[in-house]
Amino acid sequence: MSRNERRIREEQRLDERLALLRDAPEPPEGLADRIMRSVDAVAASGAPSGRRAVPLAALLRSHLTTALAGAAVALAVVMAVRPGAPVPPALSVARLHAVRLRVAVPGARTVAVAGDWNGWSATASPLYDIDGDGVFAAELRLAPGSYRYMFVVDGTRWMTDPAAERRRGDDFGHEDAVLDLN
Amino acid sequence: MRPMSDAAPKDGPRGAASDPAHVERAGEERAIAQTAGGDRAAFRQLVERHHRGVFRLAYRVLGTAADAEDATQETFVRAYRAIDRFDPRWRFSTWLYRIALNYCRDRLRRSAPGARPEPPDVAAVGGDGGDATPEVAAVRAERARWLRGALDRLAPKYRIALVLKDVEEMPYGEMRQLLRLPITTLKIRVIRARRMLRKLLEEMEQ
Repeated sequence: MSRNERRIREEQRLDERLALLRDAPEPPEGLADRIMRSVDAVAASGAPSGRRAVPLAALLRSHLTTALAGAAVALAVVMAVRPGAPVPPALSVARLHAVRLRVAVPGARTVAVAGDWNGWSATASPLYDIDGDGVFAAELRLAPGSYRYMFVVDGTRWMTDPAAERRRGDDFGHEDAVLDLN
Repeated sequence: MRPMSDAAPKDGPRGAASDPAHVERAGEERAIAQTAGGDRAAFRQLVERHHRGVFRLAYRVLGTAADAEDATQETFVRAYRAIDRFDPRWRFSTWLYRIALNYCRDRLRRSAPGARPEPPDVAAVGGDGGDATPEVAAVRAERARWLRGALDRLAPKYRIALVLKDVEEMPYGEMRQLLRLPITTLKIRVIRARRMLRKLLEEMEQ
């Protein structure tokens, strides 16, 4: 058998072996239901939803309207029960800001954002690189206020947001990014 | 997101409206648009249609049903989060597979290579055989497990290229779209992966 023939035979043998890996089991029963439960949980938690600006705004408006209506009803009840009582101070309803964070970290396996709103957890607020181009993104909903934050790359490397408009030094020799939401 | 319409098809050959594939794709586009508007029932249709394909791909790359299930769940959660970034020029399944492969690649990078498995004891049950007896099925499963052990030792980029080309039998054009790499690079990866796998199998047989 010539060297070329032997090579061809080896390649054919490898193809036959690789064909064994085409056997794949059916997905476990109920997988679609479990996927939808995860999706429902994501939707219920108000997790990042890409550039869904209009539905998000509509949702915020809807919640705001509901909250204001409830406050008006409560106020009317109080006034009806206690005629002549002083009017309580204006009720405030916190408006949430949709904040989109994006950072390019080519080669990173994971990127998360740790900040004042999540107790500086390195895992609670992950960013996602959906298309594998090294750009990670997430959308957060935060109440008005001033927040410090940093990105956590691969669970260990802390990184200041290069796009931050404002920064402030921390106690560890790094600079936190500062997010001001009015 | 491109606006969807129930009207006549925007492109494609004459009579495409009655073509089952076109009708199916139009229904899929509608479900994607509805999902982007917050309709989770529409997303369920997409899950029902595609979760088997995603699961099979993840199984072939990762090698266990448990890992494939995790990958499938995570793929659809990520797809749901990003549905309004879906580019309708892509096939939805290709987009899903890309998300799944990104997940699998990250998972493989985090995990250490598996233990070196023992070669299968084929002689004990009389070789390959042609009939689907329980014994032959057992040999086949054992050989697949052994081969999987060798595949697990390849770097993720070689493993994924090899699985897509030689297990999924995917054309290079589709691989290019999925992995965003030039076809020449992909061909080199597959050739190297085959060479490495052959060498590993020879070592394991000794």
